[in-house]
Amino acid sequence: MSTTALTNGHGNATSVGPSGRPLARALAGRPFVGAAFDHLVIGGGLSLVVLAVVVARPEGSAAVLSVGLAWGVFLSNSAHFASSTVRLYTKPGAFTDFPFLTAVLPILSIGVLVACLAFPQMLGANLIKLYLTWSPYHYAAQAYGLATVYSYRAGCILVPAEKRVLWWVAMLPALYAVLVGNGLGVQWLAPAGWLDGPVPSALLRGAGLILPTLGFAAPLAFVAWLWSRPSGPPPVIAPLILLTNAAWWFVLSPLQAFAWATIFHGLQYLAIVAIFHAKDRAARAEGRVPAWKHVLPFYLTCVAFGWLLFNVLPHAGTAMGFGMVESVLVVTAAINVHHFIVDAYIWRLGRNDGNRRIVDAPPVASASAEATA
Amino acid sequence: MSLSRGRRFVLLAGVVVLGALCVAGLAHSLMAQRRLPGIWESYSDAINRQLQRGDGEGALRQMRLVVDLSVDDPAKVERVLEPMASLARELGRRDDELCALRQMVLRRPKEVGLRERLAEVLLDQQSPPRSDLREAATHAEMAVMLDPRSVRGWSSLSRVAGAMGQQAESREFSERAQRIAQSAAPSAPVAP
Repeated sequence: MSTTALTNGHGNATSVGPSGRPLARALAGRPFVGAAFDHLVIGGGLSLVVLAVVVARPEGSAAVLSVGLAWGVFLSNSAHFASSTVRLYTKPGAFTDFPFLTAVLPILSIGVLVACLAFPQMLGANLIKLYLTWSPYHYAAQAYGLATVYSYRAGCILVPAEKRVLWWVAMLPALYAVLVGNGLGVQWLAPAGWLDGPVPSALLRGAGLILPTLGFAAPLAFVAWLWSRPSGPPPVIAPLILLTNAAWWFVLSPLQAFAWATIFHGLQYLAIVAIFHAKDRAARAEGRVPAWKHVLPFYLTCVAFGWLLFNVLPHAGTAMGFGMVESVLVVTAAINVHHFIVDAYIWRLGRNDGNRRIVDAPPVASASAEATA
Repeated sequence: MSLSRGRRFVLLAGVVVLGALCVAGLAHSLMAQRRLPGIWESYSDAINRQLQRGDGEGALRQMRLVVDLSVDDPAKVERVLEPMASLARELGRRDDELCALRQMVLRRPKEVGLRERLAEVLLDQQSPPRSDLREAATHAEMAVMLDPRSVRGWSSLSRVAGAMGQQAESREFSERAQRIAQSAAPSAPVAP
């Protein structure tokens, strides 16, 4: 990790990285809301604190979960699923940019939902396993996307090769879940008995042992590698996001991960989607409107829509004669899959996309110019 | 927002269908439970409601989903297993009964009674296939290993040996079961 001490225009010694960005500013990055909020909520710092408590006091955390899980899921997780749909339909230009997502996908999803309810064991169970397998990838992709966005905002412009490495680093927890997750991923897709063979079982055992260590070491190694390259170090929040996702999958038991990780993943998602929504609205608003006036109605809409999707829709299943358990499970799976598909499109940073304008910022160029002056 | 007529129609259809489903869900919740849908639906409550309505098949289907997917707290899944095995037996759904018993054995591998039960259910059919005989033998052997005085375990071993054409072993296991039963309480059941 090479840093060079230069003297800036004011005669003060400033440590700069190979990219020419002052080190302190490069590491601090450019938060969307504020350093504390971004690091704790979007970066997942808060979830690491909770994780430490959960690991240290599992009984206490189980008691908290038994009381608070329903509200945590309702206010964070359900709302986050709804938020991608709310964002899709409120994003400027979405109807023309995403005709399939906005018009066809909803009716297609409802069709799949009804088919899976009608054949819960043949179709429904597979839809549920599909969403359980897709979830870790979705988490990892979110971690990759956020790490890239924060790096970009901080002036750490990743070249394609660096992005590829970052993508693989982000995918390690997903790979772990898909390979060793109980009843999902390869266990779901592999033909019966195939995994019991000596070679597949040895490979999977090996992956189960190696990937957790690799999952924690790789983000740090990536930062070290990047530091020595022209891009320079990414902001601290980038590896923090990757490490948080790794901790969710590698430290928690599957059940704890289901409970806690979904709540914090939802919180992370809600924060970033609300920021993008508010910035879009602010750009179109006449005069200065405080951000909370954009964020609050958006969040309340997401909570209400989440309630309709997760809590009301299953009762429609029972009204049609299906059981509540299969209705809840299949509705949850269908909403998840819809969310994953929508999510893959609405965050794209196309050149003319509104997202690009929000993420784009004058780089830390002013600072580097200052440092090299 | 300029949308073609076709796209507008599809979009509107989606909104109408989703809206209709939500209205149906609200109405059903208000009529069936006399309240708006809560933020948390307990699987066991839902299954119990179905049982109270006398829909055993529906309840069993849901228990099977909960067990197959292990979507709940392991302790809660475990609480479903015994009622699922009993209900499946009552309804003559052998596959579901076996599923519940296998899951119980996985969770409590040293419980002799469970091994005995599973072996018996595997053997309770016209002509058990070889795979079922092998599985029954495994559980019966485990039962007599854990408790050498397991009458049901020796009886199952006798039935497995008989079904496999090993008549001498079958007789030997059967006599052993009878000896244990006679030395124990007079009411102890002995399989023929």
